[in-house]
Order: sequence, then structure tokens, then C-alpha cells
Amino acid sequence: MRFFYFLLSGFIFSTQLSAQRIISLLPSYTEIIYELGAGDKLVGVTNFCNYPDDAKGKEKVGDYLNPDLEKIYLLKPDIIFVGEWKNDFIKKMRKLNSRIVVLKQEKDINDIYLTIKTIGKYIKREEQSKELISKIKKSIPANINKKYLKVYIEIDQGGWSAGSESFISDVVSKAGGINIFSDIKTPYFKAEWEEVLKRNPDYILLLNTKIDEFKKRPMTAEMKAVKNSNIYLFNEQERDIISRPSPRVVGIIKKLSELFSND
Amino acid sequence: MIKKVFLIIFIFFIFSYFSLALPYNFNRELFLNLRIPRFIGIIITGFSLSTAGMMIQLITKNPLADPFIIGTSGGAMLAIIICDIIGFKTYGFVYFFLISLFSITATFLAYRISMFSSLSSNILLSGIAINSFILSIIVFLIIFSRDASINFFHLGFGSFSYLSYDTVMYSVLIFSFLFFLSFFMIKYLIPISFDEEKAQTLGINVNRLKFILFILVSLITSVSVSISGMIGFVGLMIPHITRKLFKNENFKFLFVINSFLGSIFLLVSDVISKSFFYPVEIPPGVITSIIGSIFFLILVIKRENL
Amino acid sequence: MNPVIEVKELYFKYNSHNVINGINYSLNYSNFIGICGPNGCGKTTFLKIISGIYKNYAGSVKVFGKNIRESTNREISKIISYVPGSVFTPFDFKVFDIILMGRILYQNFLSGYSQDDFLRVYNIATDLRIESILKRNFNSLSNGEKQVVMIAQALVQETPIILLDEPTSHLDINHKIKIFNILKSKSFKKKIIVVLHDLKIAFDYCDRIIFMKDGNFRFEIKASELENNYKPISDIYSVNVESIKKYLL
Repeated sequence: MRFFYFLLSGFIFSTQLSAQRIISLLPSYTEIIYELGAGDKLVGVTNFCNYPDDAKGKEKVGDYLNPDLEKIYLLKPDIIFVGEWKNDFIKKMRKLNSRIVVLKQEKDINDIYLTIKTIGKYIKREEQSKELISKIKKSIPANINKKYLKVYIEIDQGGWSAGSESFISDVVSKAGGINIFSDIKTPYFKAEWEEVLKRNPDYILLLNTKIDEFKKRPMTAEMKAVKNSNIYLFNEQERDIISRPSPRVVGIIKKLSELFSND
Repeated sequence: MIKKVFLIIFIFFIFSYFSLALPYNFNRELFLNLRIPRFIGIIITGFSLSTAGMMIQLITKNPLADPFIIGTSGGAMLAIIICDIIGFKTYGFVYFFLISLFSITATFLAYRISMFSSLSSNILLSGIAINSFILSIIVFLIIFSRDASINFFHLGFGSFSYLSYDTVMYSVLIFSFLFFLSFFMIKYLIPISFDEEKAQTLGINVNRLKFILFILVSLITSVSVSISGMIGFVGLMIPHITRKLFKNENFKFLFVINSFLGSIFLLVSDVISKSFFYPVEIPPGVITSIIGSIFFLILVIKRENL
Repeated sequence: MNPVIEVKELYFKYNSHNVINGINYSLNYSNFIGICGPNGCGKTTFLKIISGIYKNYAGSVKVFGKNIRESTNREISKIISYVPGSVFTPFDFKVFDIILMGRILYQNFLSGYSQDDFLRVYNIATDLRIESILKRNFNSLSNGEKQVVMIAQALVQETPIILLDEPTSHLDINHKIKIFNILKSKSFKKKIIVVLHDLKIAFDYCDRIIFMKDGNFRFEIKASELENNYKPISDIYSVNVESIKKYLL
């Protein structure tokens, strides 16, 4: 009989373990948690968590800049996923009775695998995380016989581009392109227009600038990419996806890969 | 004194050369279609900001005045943001016209409010109030427009990036016209900046002239904003440097040399950006603000004869 | 014939304070008028109204028969010049340029100053013995020198009427006398109205002296009538008659 109670308490204890209350403070973490099948355990997400649709209905606890500590406390989470942010509220959150998991900032796609693995470990979804990682890896096109086109990435109409340390730069390279500014080590910077012209990209990726606005700039008519109409403007959803290092990014990689090979 | 003038002209040519030549890449198309319009833009912006700065300091008798502070910056920014939000993309003369319309209106408002007090400096205070008010409206508006919020970020420090003949030649004409107008106004500006009551008894209709001069300053500043956005500190700093270098010269001379110094300053910041950071572009306003803030602090601490 | 200056029912408020309380005055023949009175009686304000600086007064002010309310600043500046009590300017101006400003009413929009203007400036500077400071920065001058420069600026305007507000308060007796000698000589052809505190100088040089108190003109006497007027003068200043006598003799 005692043994039965022992088993029972063990069972209850372990279900308590797996019946975790999770708070995610970054939309990409939210997406990963859902992909790992633990969406129902999420009790709090950020204001920007809009994928999948179910996440929209979850309790909002602010965002990574301004988390609503009161709400977080009231939700009594077992585990909170945060990033390597330099604000003091992580210290404050440690005072709560929750486990705080600090995830490394993802610089490229490989870092996503680490995030998935870490999240999987803490919510006891290791199997699923392994599956997810290999699924993503398989979805990334092999890039054999790729032409390796030169790509100019423009983040906004002020002329800001992405350097090699940015996430989007990695996405482009996984899709078979070469960021013309991969020699610039900073993630985001304003590029001299003259240099863009000089490097004459084969493809132009615009995140925010409208295409006809782009064409109004001086000497665009002579650009290779413009002559061949190799300009692509991200739509709203794609813009969203590219701004977060989540599994959905694979879709973008595939899309870009297709665009580049059609040339 | 002649020596100084020659030195300044020499420096002007040196930095013009570098601004046009850097980075070394001889491509005729590039030079004609990109570098020359950019150069023209830099020169005109430098001329405009320093001229407007000198005028505003004289009219308000305040050596710490800046041409943006009389409501000009608020008006210009509002014009640009509204164009963004409603998606009205324009350039050249129409762009200048819109910006100056809003800019003049804001200046006019600031002026009318300041009329309730008898001090000449008070347009600076009412200008600050108007600018703050407009800024809060702008921030409110950009919450609802993603494009506008991005543009707003870029507005702050200016850029000479995408200038072409279409977007820059109108400014040469407009600025020349405004400059000549202001040049003939110097005669009236000097007594006003000496002592307003005396200027009145010398036959000058002080209120009307101040009003005209404020509008002129607003227009001249708008030329610069329509080319390159908001670049701060040039209007504040350069008139001081001019006065320091040429203590004893007459105002007409100061007026002209002042504008050259303004364009030299911007050419220098362009050369700095191209020499050390290429191909990353450092917005001109960043460099002018860094140098300008230090300069401003020194000014305030010293407070000697200006 | 029109009086040179005719003031009727003049009232003026500044920040709800009645500075001018009903002045009626007519200036006809005398050429050198002094206005005296205790501090704060409105002397400076009176001059500023006549010269066109303050415009929202009640009543009428006519100069050579023309109501100054209906005149432009330019028209007034051709008839009346004004020397203020003090000036402050944060910028550097050369003395020469400041005096030259007095010639601005003779320019139009496109023209600059002429050789003739420059000559007049030199002449005035010589008359007032300030030719040596013409190239100096105004702010570097002493208060007394600044005053002389301001007088020069008004004189170069060549108006028939000159108003001066305590023009020699910072000058030593030597310079006071020099300036007043010059003003006296000008007063043969022009009308000079001086606000001053120095009663001795007033009686030595002015033809007539107006005594002002609390915003209106109390009385006016010829300089020669000093003997009989010690009492009223001492009342104006609220001192006893003996002190006034001692002071003026």
C-alpha cells in the first residue's frame, strides 16, 4: 500500500512537473513552444506574439522591453523564457518562484537549433525538439549547383542594410545568395548608395521600401538587378517572420531560394 | 584679414575636392549623376543653415539661437511625416513648397504668440513650445503608421544620399533668390539687432521687418530640410565661428563668409564619413551634433564676448 | 502757425500702472527745453511716446501739425531723433557703423550708404571729439563714451527735433559741458528736448524747464525765472527749499 502511495505521489509529482505554466517573452520562443506541442501550457505571451492564431488569445504580459511584472507574478508561471537582455527586470523576476531560462541571442540559423534544444529541454519536450530541428534542417535547400547571386538587402527606405552579423544576412546565405555587404561586421548600418551601385547586386531584397520609390533613386536604371526586374518586396507577413528567429523562417529561405534560382 | 579669407577659400576647395573625389573611383557616370548633385546639395545646405543661423541670432539678439527653434523644425517635420502617412511622395520644388508652407505657418504661430511679450527673444520660447507640441502630435501619428515611424528616425540626422539633379537644382535657384533678398535686408537687420527701440526711431518698422525676417529664416531653413532633412548645430555654431574669426569686419562681409564656413563644415563632415567609415554612411547630423554639442558646452561655460 | 509739438490729453498705461496722467502741452518758440522731475515721474516715457516708440497711448500728439498716430516710423524719424538713456547689445558693432545707422532713413531698399553719408559721420565724430574711437568696438567703450556715440547717431539723422534722455549722466563735468555746448549750438536751428537730472546744467543751458511729477507736467519756467521758483521746485522733489538753494548756487 505504501508503495502504491509512493507511485501515486511520484506520478502526481511528475504530472505537476509536466503540467508547467510557461511564460514566453519573445514571439520566436512562443512559436517554438507551439511547434513543440506545448502551446496549451503557455499562460503568458508578449503583445507581439501573433503566431499561431491561438497565441493571440493568450494573456499578454507586455514585451521584452517592458514586461508587466505584476501580471507575470499573478500568473504564477513555473518557467519564464527570456533572452540575454540587459535590463534589470530579469533580476526582479528571479525573486519570483519561477525558473528563469535565459536564451542566447540568435545570430544565425544554427543558433535557432540551440534555442529549440534548450526550450525543449526545460519543458520536457526533448524528443519533439530533436524532430523539429531535423525537420528544419531537411527543409533548408541543399544549395548544390547554386549560382550564389549577389544580394542587396535593404531594411528600410532610409538606406539601412544588413551586415554579416545579422539574422537576415544568414537567411539570405542559406537561400543561396551572398549579401553584398557581408564584409561589414555590424548587424545594421546605413550603406552609402554609391557603394550599392558599385557592387551591382544581382538581386535586390526590399523589406520596406516600395519598388517604385527605389527606382526613383539616381542611377538605378543601370543596375543589373533593376534591368532584369530582380527586385522583391517582402509582404507584411514575411516582414514579420524575418524579424524573428523562429522555425517559420524556413519558409522564407525556401521562397528566396526559388527566387534566386529563377534568375 | 585677407590671409584668412584666402585660407578659407583654399580650405573650401580642398574639402570640395575630397568630398567629390572620395572614395577614389573614377566613373564618369557616377561622378556626373551622383557626386555632383550630392556636392551641390551639401553646399546649398551649408549656405542655408549658416545664413539662417546668423540671421536668427541677430534678430533675436540671442547668440544661442538656432534657426530651427522658431517653429521651423516642427513645421518641416510635420510636413514630411504627413506626406509619408498619406503616401504622397514628391521631390524638388513641390517638396520644398510643402515643407516651407508648414514651416512658415509654425513660425508665424510662434511669432504671434511671442507678440504678447515685449522681449525680442521670446519667439525662441514660443518656438520651443510649438516644436514640442508638434513633436507630440507627430509621435502620436506615427504610432499608426509604420513607414512614417521609420522615416521619423531618419529625419533626425539628415542625409545627402539620394540626391540627383531633379532633387537638388531647384534649391540653387531658390536659395540664391532668398540669399539676395536677405542680403538687402541686412541694412535693416543691423539696427534691429543693435537696439529695437532705436531702430524704431531710425525709421524702421521693427515689427513688420522682424516678421519678414522670421519668414525668410524659415524659408531658408526649409531649403536645407527639403534637400537633406534636419541637420542640427550648423546654424548655431557657424555664426559664432564667423564672428570670432572676423571680429572687426562689416556685416555684409560676415554674411557672405559665414555661408562659406557653413558649407565647409558640412564638406568636412562628409569627408570624415567617407574617409573613416566607408561604406557605412554616418549621417551628417551625427557628426555636426557631436562637434556641435561640445562646442555649445564650451560656449555656455565661457560666455565671453560673442 | 502750428506749434512744433502739441500734446493733448495724453494718457499712458504700462502694466496697469498709470505712467502718464493727462499731459497738455504746446511747444512753440523755445528751442532748448529741459524736462526735470523725480525718478519715475514719467519723463522717459513721455519722450518715448513723442518719438513714436510707444504707440498705444490715449490722446493726441501732433508734430508740425501732423498727428504722429497717422505717421509711419519713417516719417517720424525724419523729424524726430531720439537718444536713449542706455543701450545694451550682445554683439560687436564698430562705433562708425553705429553712427552710420543714423543715415538709414535716407536709403531705399536697394541702395547702400553713400560717400556723403560717410562724410557726415566723420564730421559729427569730429564735432563731438570722438574721431579716435570710430574703429573701436562699441561694447569696449566706457558708459560715457557710449553716450556720446548715441548722441552722434541721433545728430547724424539731421532732424529738426532731437529728444535726449539723460545724455550726460555718465560723463565728467568737462564732457558734460562740451556736449551741452554742442547741443546749445544746434539749438539755434533745431528744437532740443532733454530729460535730465542735473538742475544746474538745466538752468545754464535750457531756455525753459518743465517740471514733471506723477505723470503730468506741473509747471514750466524760463531759465531766468529761477530766483522766484525755489519753493515749487523743492515741492516737486520733496526736499526743503534751503537744500535746493544751496544746490543751485
